[in-house]
Parts: sequence; structure tokens; C-alpha cells
Amino acid sequence: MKKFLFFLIFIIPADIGPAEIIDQGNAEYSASIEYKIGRKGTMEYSLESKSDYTIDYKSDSWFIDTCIIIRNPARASIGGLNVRLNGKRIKGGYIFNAPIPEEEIFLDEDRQYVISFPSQLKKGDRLTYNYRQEFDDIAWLPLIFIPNKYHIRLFRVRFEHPPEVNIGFEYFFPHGELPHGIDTSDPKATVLTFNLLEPSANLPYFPFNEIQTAILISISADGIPVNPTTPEAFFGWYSPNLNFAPLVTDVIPEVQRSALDSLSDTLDKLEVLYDYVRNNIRYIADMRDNASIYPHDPAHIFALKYGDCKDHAYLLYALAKKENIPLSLCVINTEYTPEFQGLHGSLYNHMICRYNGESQAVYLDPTSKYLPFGNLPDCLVGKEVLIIDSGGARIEEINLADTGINFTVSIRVGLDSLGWGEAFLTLRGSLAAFALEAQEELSSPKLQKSLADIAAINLNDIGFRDFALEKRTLQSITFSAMADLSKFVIASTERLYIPRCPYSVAAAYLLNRESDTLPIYFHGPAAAALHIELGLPGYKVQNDSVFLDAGVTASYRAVMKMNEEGILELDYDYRRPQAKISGREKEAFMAFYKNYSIAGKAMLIAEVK
Amino acid sequence: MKGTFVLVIGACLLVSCGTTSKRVAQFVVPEIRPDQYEPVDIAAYEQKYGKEDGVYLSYERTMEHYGAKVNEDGAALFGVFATIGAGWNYVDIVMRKFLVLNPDAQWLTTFSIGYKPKSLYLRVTTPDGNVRQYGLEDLQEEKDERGGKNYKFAYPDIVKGTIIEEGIQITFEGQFAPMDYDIPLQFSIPCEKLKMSYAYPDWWGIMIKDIRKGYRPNYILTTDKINHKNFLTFEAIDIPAYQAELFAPYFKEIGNYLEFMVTELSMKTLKMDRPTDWVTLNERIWKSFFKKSEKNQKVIESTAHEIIKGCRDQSAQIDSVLAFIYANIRVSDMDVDADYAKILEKREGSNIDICGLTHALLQSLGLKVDLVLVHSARDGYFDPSFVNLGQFSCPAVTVKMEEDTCTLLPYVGNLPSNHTPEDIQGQAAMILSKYSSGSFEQIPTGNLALNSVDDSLEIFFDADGRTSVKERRILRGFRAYIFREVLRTTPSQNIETIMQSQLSYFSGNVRLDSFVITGQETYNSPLILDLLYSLDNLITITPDEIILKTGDLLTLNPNGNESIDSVDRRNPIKISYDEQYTKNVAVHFPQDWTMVTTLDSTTVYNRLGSRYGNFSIDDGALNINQFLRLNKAFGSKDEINSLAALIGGPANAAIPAIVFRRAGMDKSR
Repeated sequence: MKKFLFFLIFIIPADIGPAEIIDQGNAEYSASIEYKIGRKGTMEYSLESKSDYTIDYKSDSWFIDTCIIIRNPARASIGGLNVRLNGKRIKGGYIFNAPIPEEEIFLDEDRQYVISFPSQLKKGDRLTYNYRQEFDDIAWLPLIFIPNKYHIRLFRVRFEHPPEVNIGFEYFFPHGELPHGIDTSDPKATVLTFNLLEPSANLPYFPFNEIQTAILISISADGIPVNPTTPEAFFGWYSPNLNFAPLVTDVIPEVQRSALDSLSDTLDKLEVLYDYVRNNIRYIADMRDNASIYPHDPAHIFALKYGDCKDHAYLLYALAKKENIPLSLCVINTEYTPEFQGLHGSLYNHMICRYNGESQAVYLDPTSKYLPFGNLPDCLVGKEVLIIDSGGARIEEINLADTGINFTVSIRVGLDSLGWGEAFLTLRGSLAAFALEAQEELSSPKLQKSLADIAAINLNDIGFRDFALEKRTLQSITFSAMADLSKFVIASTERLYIPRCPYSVAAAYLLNRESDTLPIYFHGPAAAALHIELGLPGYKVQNDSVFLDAGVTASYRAVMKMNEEGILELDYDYRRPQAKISGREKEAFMAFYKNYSIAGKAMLIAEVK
Repeated sequence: MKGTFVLVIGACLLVSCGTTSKRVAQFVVPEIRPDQYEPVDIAAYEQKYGKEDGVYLSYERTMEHYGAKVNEDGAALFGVFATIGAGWNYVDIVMRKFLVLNPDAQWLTTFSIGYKPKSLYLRVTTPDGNVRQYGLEDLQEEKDERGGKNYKFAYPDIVKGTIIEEGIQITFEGQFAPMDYDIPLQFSIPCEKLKMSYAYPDWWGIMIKDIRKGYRPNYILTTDKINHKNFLTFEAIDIPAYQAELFAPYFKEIGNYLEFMVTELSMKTLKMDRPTDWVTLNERIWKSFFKKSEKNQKVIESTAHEIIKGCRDQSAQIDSVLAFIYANIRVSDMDVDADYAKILEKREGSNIDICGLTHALLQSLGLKVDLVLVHSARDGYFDPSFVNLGQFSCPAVTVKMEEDTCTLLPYVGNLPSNHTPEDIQGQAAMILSKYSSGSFEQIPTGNLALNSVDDSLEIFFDADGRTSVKERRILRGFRAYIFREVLRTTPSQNIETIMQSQLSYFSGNVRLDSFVITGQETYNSPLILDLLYSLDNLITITPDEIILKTGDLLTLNPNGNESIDSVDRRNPIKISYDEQYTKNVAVHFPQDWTMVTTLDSTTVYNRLGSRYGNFSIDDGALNINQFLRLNKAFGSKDEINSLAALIGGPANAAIPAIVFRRAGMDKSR
């Protein structure tokens, strides 16, 4: 799972500087970025830029190690960097052109400037910096971000361009629309200006706290896209260097070959290939040359037995092709990204595959070593994916079809031994991958702790210990464990109180989001089922149930009834299929959350007969 | 600090002699012998080493100086490095062989080196005996941030049970060769066989540091008279891995390593002239860096007296001077200069100069102060016989008051004057002065600041079951310092979010109604957080009874969600500070309620600390008083259960739900 976070396959330079300053505080910030678009030939344009930034510090609440980071990608290299603090130039000893410290990228050509300061920044300091940037290809024109850490005095982007060129701006305002102006009075220049913006407070369950605005720029000439901000334009730009019919000269081992030959079902065959790739190609990212955006040749990957996400996906694509199984390559982001109608390469950081079956589509992430066939990491469910195959490129949302309950717990326990319940926990999807990885790589005590943590994150007041692997299927992993319900069942002298809402649905911070109209974002969907059989001889119970339904966003069902053998059967089922919840669905979910809390105030009561 | 200072500690003068120390270390690429391949019992290794990423089957490192004495006169300055040139060579050879148990451990299955080796072989043997070998030509070059080069290689086709062999020979022609050595003898994975050798001309001298009092690793010293060579050799087998843990000492406090320095040397035109006593070292430092320190005394005096206007005692004077420094002098990377008037004027200076200025200001007020360089526990044991500036990493100012000595680090913004970071507590400090006799003082062991968090809560219920909570949290010592830093670096629009994260209760419908922060700007006073919040799902009211689901509200859990692993403990236990936490909760309930739940008082007491919880009902309130104290202590790993009993995680510290019954209600209705 951890690896997904670092698979940068498109290193298009996100706009630099301001958004990258590490420290926070009270400062005023101005930016002026001037792009110059030149004509190189028919529908061919060059791009260069000049950027100027000024930051005035209004307080001295800054760390000693304040630094500025400016990305310096190989394809859009920086020159003429000039940094001044209070007018005095900061020289080489404080400016390093360093490799980008991505833990899981082993080799990379892209670099960044790291600028530190000769002394701590204090109130009244003025920092200015400027530089030029030359782009190999106009396609590398970055997204522009306005940071949310500063009071923005002025943010100005100016394009100088031939008259046939049109500049289009698309905005993503995570905190609400901001006033801005566009000046096109000069046919050879387009100017976008933001004035006097105030930073917004950080919100919980919200991934865009660091930016006030993201801007996607579409350049067209006589109505034809110049930079790839549509699927068609992206395909036209990207596909010429991608071989959609890769040759696989190497052979996969005999075990997999025999399995393939013995199977007739396409999905079964695909599963063999998927398992082969995820289990035999380890993750090492070599991003040199074109490998930051294109996968290596399958022969290369076969020989090395390592690669990044693109290499995993492309090898699977090639192997499937050889078996006449139709796959497409897909790019996606493991994190939430600014939402635009248009597309931009930097919005994707991961590559997966899509099986194009006649009756169904199946997404496959062969980089995830521990994820069983047919599952996707939670962080990808519900995201938009750009599908690329020989026929073109198109955007699709990964189907929100119910991925099934990924956390199932059953417990049998007696009243006289609440601390020693017999439990089985079955994990699927990302949770199964997490547990499998923990089982493979962690020592026994750490595995125990990891599994106990999974349970504790999901369930209140029930503890688990002494996990042992019970069953491992293709889709799930089941552990037996000892369950402790001594805090779950509350005893007074002659009554027992049993919670009706034991799940941790969200942290209390969620209520801070009640008044705004922005979406709430979870890391992934949730689906859990808990079944408890509690032996209560000598007690009587009024059967009870709770049903909460927030439409497509969430549902909760609890049924509590005593059977004839004096066993109280408790069934709790919680579903939240969406990771991002917005608009009216958000209102419904907030109401659901509050109702869930209210329902939890009442408890099931068992009384002595 | 060291970078500037170390240059003064050695001086090379002339030498005359004609002896040659020949090279003895060889770099031989082992022959590939497929016929002698013996399959590895991977299962046995897995069983033996559990979930380690791998295991070094052998690890051998040889460092060697060789060359001739030359009859020439000359002189040069050098410190812990010396330039290698014609007639003097230095080679560093590493040959290691390891078994991969976790093929996904990228750090183990890739090769990176920060300089181009003279020679290299990298060999991969798969479990089926297939061998592939790589060399210098296979390395990928990458520039580092300072314009240097890194060389990298990712081993192909790695599976569990693959054996990787690495042989690296580095030569230092025309470069600096180290004169001080700090060599780890323990790694992050186990090592079955280790050999470290340092070979040097037999007319040189070296000195080895004690890594604990009276203890050095079990090395041997031998001589090869024919080749004029001395050898320092360390060998060991079955060395366990070292891994950091919570509440554990620093590696150098418990791990095995070899630290030594060259004390006598003559090569080419160079001769070691290293201070052999602390007096000489202090003199050289003073002459080199502090000559200007006595200039402009009047400016210092007038500034100092201006700063302390209105201060009634020494403590107040110290705090005023410190506050002045924090507010007016910024830390910069300037060289040590010791012109304090200039620093006051420019309002910036290096760490050492800021200490020097603080020292000068306090001294001008007649306080008993010393400018010191302090050893850190991070650097292990301080060996007084090992005269090397590298033993000190922290400049400071000590002030002797009537009863206490306080240690000031005036370049660490807003650190209270009575707080001493744990890594320098009890450590040796070398006094820097013009007339020093090379004397030392010891930084006080105890931390003068009381490091505590005192939490008091009052909980009230209304008829609808809504709960309001009035919470006051008082942070002292480093707890206050750390939280003050959090507040200081948080934009004002996000302070409320930070305060919300401080509530004792955070697992339900909670709303922060108001908050007040007191003492945020006065760095040496307690930091007080007053929080008022309401909850609407804390209690359940049934016809008969009321259930108070305490959640985390009553929990005393200073460790947050961090719990210590008591099963698989590897390292001894270290508690860095005396720490104290109290949580006093008054649950106000109506007169007609009676508490049904029995709460048992708890007491845990052991050498590492104590913990208790008392419960009483008084004037319509349930009073819950909890106390936790951790004692600054060092203990064996066997004491982990004692520590777990005190701070074993949130679950252990939780108080169960509390049930009340209303008076007059018919319990059997």
C-alpha cells in the first residue's frame, strides 16, 4: 500500500515555490509568472517562462530551517535563479540542486532547488526570488497553484503568445470561488490576475487545505488544442512513444505456463498472469530517460525482475496481449487531486490495467503485491481513471459497485468470560493486503499489534488479542483471535447495557464540516459486519433494531435479538461505499452521522429474569 | 560548529625519516565456483532470523594507510582529515556477503555509494546456484546536491534466499583521508561474522576511545615488522541487529562501535601535532576564535544593564537576558567571530557566538557563568583521556546560582532557562576561557523544570443528557515548550483545530465552545489551556439508570496512541526525564443519582514510576483523581513490563462506563 504514494509517473512540474515553502505563518505573498509562447512551425509552439516571487514576513514565527523548494524537472529546466533576502543575494552555499527525495524512486533525472537561509527569518524580512524556465515541450506547461498559507497580495500570470493562440483557464477553487480577472485586450497577451486573497482555515476530511486555487491552462491555436488537456490531445501526444503491441520474447516459468494452458476461462488466465507479475516483479523505480512517463520494454522488465507501477502494468498488459486477453493501460491518482473538466498529466501518479471483458470490466493493480485478484486498493475506488489503449484515450470513473464487506467479525462469548470471547476476523480488499503484508514482513508481536490496530480503528470497546491465521483464500484472509468484551458490555447490579452502535464511523472533527458546502473525503470506502453471540442465561431482552439509511452514501443496520437458547445475537452492519461525499449526499451523510450518534446514546438493555 | 572548530586542533610540522610501510590489504575478487555451490537452507535462516530483511553472512572491512616517511621539511595545518598525496596512500576495502530474506527491502537489494570506487564487484547468487556478476561499468551515475556524484545499481532478479556479495575498494589519492574514525560494529540486520581492520604505519600512533567507562570493544593490536605495519583488528560472530525503539537509549549508549583517532603521524612533509591535553586544546580554540571576545566591554555592560532593568534577582536577570537574545539575535551560519558588539549591531550570529554573547552579558552582570562545549549522550560515553573536540557537539552557557546550576542554549528559540535537553544532562562540559586550565564541569543531571501536564475537568449534565465540560490543562517544562512551538508555528486560522485536538474527549459528538490560551508568549511560565466544550452522546438515560460512557474523557494517557511493545523488546529502557501527569475529574451529578458502578482504586508502583487512581463521591460529584509519574531511569529490557504497567497504552488506562441510578425509581418496574 505504501508504495502507491510515490509512483510519480508524470513529472510535469507543478508550479513551484510558494506552495512548497515548508513553514507557516503570517506573510504576504506576490507572484508574477510570465509565459512566452513562440511559434516553431505549423501547430508547433515553444514555451519559456520567467517567474518572480516576493514574500514579506509579518511575524517571526518561523522555524530555523525554513527553506524554499523549487522543482527543476529535466524537461523544464530552471536557469538564472536569483534569491535575495532583504535585498542581499543568497549565494551558492545555501542553494542546492538536489535529487528529489522520493523514498521509493531509486534513480531519477528530475531535481529540485533547495534554498535555505543564512539566518532565521524574522518579522520584517523580505524574500524575493526569480528564475527562468525553458520547456522541452509545451505539453509540460504546469498546473498553477495559489498557496493557502499566505495572504495573497497579487498573483498574476501573463501569457505572451501569437495572435492565433487562445489561452483558456479552468479553475479548481477548493474553498469557494475567488474573484479574479482576465485581460485579453491585447491579442498577443492574456493576463490572469488574483488580488488580495485571504487564507482559509484548515478543514478536517479535506485534502486541499494547502491551496487556495489550482488552475489548468488550455492552449489552443485556431481552435485546435496545443497542450494535451483533452483525452484526444493527450492520446495524440502520449501514444506515439508507447508500443501498444509489445513483444514478449521471454517466457514465464513453467508453473504459470502449465496453469495457463490448463485454463479456458479468460479471467482465470488473467489471474495467473496478474499473480505472476505482482509476486515476481519487485518494486524499484528507475525514472531516467523517458521512464518517468513511459514504461520500460517488457524484455527489460523480465530481465531485471523489477520495475515501477508502469512497468508492472505494462508487463501484465504485454503478457495478456500474448494470451489474447484484452487489457488497457490506465493512469490514475492514489491521492485526491484538483478536479477539472480538462486533464493534465500531473494529475496522475499511478498506472494500472483494465480488463475489457465483453460483459464486465475488471481493474487490476499488479504493483500491489499483496492485493488479491479482483480487488483494488481502497484509495483508487471511485476515482477517475484515464484509459489508454490503441484506439484512443477516455476517462472513466472506477465503478462504485459494492466491493463487499471488507471487515467481518464474529464473536462467541459468555457473560462469565467476557474477556475471553472466541472470535474470527475476515479481511478483504485493502485490509486483506495490509494483513498479508504484515504477516509476511512483520515479527509476530508486531503482526499482533497491527491486526489489533485494524480492529481498534473500526470498533469501539472491543479488544482483540492472540491472533492466529485460520484461513487464507484467494480473496480473503481469516484470523482467529481472543475477543475482550469486558468494556463493551456494561453491567449495573441487575442489568446489562449493550451498545447499539459500536463502529467508529468518523472522528468528532467531522462535525466541523457541517456548515460548509464542500465535499468530505475519506481515504476509501468502508463496509463492515459484526456478529456477536452473547450467552446470557437468566436474562431477558427486549429485541431491538436500528436502521439508518442515507441513500447511496451510507447505511447502518443493527439487529439484536435473544434466541431460545438464551443467546443474544447481535448483528451490526455498516456500509459507506463512497470515499468522496459531496452536495446533497454530504448533507445526507452528516445527518446520518448525527443520527448514528443519537442512536448510540440508547443502549440495548438485558435484565435479570 | 565542528566544521569550523576542528581545523585548529592539529598542526603538522617537519619530519625526517626514510622508512616505508607497504600495503598489505588486498582486493581480490573471489573466484566463481559453480561446482562448489551449496544451496542455502532458507527455511533455517528464516526460522533463526524471523522477519529481518536479511543477514550478513560475512562482513569484512579493511582500512589501510601505507607509504613512506620522506626527508623533507615543511609544515601544514590539518585536523581530522589529511590530504593524501604522492608517497602516502589510503585504501578502504569492504567485502560483505548477505542473504536476502525480504526481496522487497529496497535498501538491501540496491547498491548506492557516494564516490566512485577504485574497484568493485557485485555478485548475485540465486537460490538455484545461478551466479551473475557486475562491476563499475554497471553503476548508474547521479549528481548529488553538492555537485558530487552518487553511483547506484539495483540488483536484478532478487528472490528470498538470494545471496549478494559486494566488494568495494576506495582509494583516496589527492583527497582527504580521515584521521578520526567512528566505525559501527553492529548493523540494522544481524551479522554472522564480522572483521574490521585498521592498518597503519608502525611509526604512527593511534588512540582508542572507551565506549563505556573502562570498556572498549574486544580488539587486538598486532605488528608486522617486515612491512612496518600495525593492525587494529576487531572480530566477532553472531552479532544481533540494532533497531531503535521507544523509551530506548541512543545507539552509542548501548550499541557496539569502535572510535579512535590518529595521534602520531609522519608522512611526506606532515607530522601530527595534535593537542594531547585539554589545556592545549582550549588554548588553541581561544586563540583562534575568541580573541575579539574582550572588545567593547562597555557596550556589553551597558546593554546588559539595560536588559535587566527592574529585575529583582538572578533568575529574573537570566530570564531577561535570554528573552532579549530570543527576541533580538537570530541564528545564522556565520563563522565564529566573538565580536559581540558587532553581533548586537547585526542582530545575528552563529550558535557559538550567541552563546558567547549570552555569556558576556551575564558575566558583565557579575553572575558566575561559563561558556562551555557539552558532550551529548547521542555520542555515547565521554572518555576524558580521549582528547578530541569531536566529543563535544553542543555549545552552551552554564550559570551557577545559589542552589542550582542552569544550562542555557540561547540559540534554541524559546527554550526555558530551567530546561535542559536530556541528551546533555549529566554530561561533561569543557569550559572555554582565556585562562582555562582545561577544566570541565558537569551539566546537572536533574532537569530543573518540572515536566508535567496537569489536567482538571469539571463535567456537568443537563436534563436532556447534554454534557458540558470545563477543562483546564497546565503544561510545564518541555511539555509547555513543545506545545508553545506548535502554537507558534501554526497560522492563526488553524489554532482552533489545534485546540480541538487537545480535548480529553474526541470520540463522539463533541463541540468546542470556547478556548483561552494563557502564557503563550512568556516562554518561562506554565502554558495554560482553558477549554469549554459540550458533548451530546456521553450519557445514555434509561428509565432507571444513567450510563456515563467515559470514552477517553477520564483516561490519563500521556502517551497518546503510542503503545510500547512489551513482547518483542530488544533494547534497554531509558526514561529521559522525570515526568508527572495528573488528571482530576469532577463529575457533577444531580442529588437524586446514586452511583451503581464500583470503581476500584488502582495503584502501580515500581522503580520506573508510579500510577494511581482514586475515586470518591463528595457533594454531588464523583471525583476521580489520577496520577502518573515516570522517573528518569535506565533499566534492562526485562523491565519492559514495569514500564508497560505504567504506560501500556490507552486500553489499559481506560476507565469503564459508569452507571448511576436515580433515587426513588423502582428497579424492577
